[in-house]
Amino acid sequence: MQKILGNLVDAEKGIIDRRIFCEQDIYELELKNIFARCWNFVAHESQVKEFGDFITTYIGEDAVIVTRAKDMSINVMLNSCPHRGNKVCFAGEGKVRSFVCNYHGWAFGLDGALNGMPANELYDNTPGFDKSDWGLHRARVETYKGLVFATFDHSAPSLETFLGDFRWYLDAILDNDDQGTEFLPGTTRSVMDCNWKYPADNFVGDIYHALWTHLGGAEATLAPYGGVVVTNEDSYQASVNGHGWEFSVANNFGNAATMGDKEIIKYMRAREDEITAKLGDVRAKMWGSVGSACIFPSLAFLPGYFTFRTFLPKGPNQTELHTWTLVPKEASDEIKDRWRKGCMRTFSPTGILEMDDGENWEHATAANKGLVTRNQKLCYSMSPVEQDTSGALPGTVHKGQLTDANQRLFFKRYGEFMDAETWDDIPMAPITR
Amino acid sequence: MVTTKEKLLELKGAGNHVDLATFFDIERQMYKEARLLDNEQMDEWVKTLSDDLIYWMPIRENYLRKHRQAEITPNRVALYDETIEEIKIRLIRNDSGMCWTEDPPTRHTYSISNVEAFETDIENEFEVQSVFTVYRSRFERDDNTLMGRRKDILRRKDNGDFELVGRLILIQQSTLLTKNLNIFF
Repeated sequence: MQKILGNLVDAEKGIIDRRIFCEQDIYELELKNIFARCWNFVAHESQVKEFGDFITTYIGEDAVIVTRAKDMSINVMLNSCPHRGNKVCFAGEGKVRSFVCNYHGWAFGLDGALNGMPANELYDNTPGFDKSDWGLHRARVETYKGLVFATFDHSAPSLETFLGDFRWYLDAILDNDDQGTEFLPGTTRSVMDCNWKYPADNFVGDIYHALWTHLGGAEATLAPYGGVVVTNEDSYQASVNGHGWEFSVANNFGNAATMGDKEIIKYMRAREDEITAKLGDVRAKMWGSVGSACIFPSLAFLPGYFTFRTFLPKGPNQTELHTWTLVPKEASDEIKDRWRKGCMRTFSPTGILEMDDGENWEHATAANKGLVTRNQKLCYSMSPVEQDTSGALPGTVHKGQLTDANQRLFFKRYGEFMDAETWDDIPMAPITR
Repeated sequence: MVTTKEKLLELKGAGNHVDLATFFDIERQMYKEARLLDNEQMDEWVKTLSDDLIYWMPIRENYLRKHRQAEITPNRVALYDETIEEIKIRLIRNDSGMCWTEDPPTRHTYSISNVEAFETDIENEFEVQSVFTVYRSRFERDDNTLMGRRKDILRRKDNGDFELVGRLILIQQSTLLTKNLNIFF
């Protein structure tokens, strides 16, 4: 296949070939060079709090189980029996001591080890048969302040290197108090007939769409406050290793306000000074201001609402969304419940904002069925006001949140991964914080 | 009595069946409501909701049968968990004139069946269970069918009209095979 960078992705000018959003061979390469290679978000630690807790999800199209073992380690392994391949766990979440395959009864521990099978003496005549060779295939697991990531690539650098200085930004929502965060119980799952990169690039840096797409939805809650306000004054786009966050540092709780719940704003205001003291002014603002973020390739979140979501690829033309609501552990049950409802009201399949997005991404994808259409280019040419080289903020930072800067860097990163033979070919931003 | 999500979870068809005349009126109310939703007569639909409404559509999850906790609990994230005021907030989007994705409008047909009505401890309140099928068609080929069960508490007002006091909507998909739920149930 031709190289992506320079051919299908011109990251400098912001010209993107539509074929990366629809062609099957490109999609197959994404599964190999991106999803099977990257650190992928699989769970929040609070979802597997106790020994025996598990959830099931996907890395790329690979079904995985995430467990908490007896030694309290978190394990991630393929949800497929090494005997004949059947799924070993059909529940979305729960608490167990082992996973027993429905087909022949092979039983696996919470660490994936093959513990036994019915009539195991039938293997007595098999030279060299060793149960330890036939556990569930395990991924590497590392965490960052509650977020659990896994990779099947044993040559991948550490999660710390992969996230790089983006960790500094993540602390704005993951580490602004002593107690940290948790996911509220329950995973919302839905399917959009869109390429996974449309939602990913939207969250990494497209606040521009809010000025039009969400006018109707935002009217419901923001109308008394003058509707959707986004400007390039006091706002930025920051990108590290393809991960990106566009955000305002104006003194407001713009994202949080869109949920239409004054009690949440009161709670956030009451914590403003404490968070400013801990993290400084910029990150204190990033906690709830107008902004959005995506960790490459496909974990997105919104400050303020605290919806967290993964875009799981199901072919070039379909994406499965798994979404959660993140809350500060220290918040009262009443405040947590308000976030549960506020997040649902805005960013869920019934959400007054999410409903607008899905339509756009599905029809952007469907259009590529046209032969002439898919051979056209897409315009990511909105250049930033200027680069911020002050060094106050880590990573590649541009002034003004209304720009395609982060999206271009996302697709540059996409091209770097797609074109790379090994991890050695993939540049890593220096760690400065 | 104040309706709660816990109370909706207790609706199990345990009461006596209502008398025939009451059943006829309740069934007619169900069909009328379906017609209002078919026709997007949302202002009229809201008038059929009580001020103390609890309108709840939990997410579904796949648990093993031996799992100890209940599948559906009030504290889990949901698809709808609304008071009447919160439903009105959602309707502002549709009425804003800026809801681009509903223009041209979605066409829907609600089919209501399996209606059963039971007496409760409260004289003018009834437990009503029904099954819904909602067919949606949008633009050229967007096509989607949703099916599930509703467990309602319906109150007969002094003037004889009914108002919806509580509704638990059980959809059967744990992964919604659709991009959104741009409708009420």
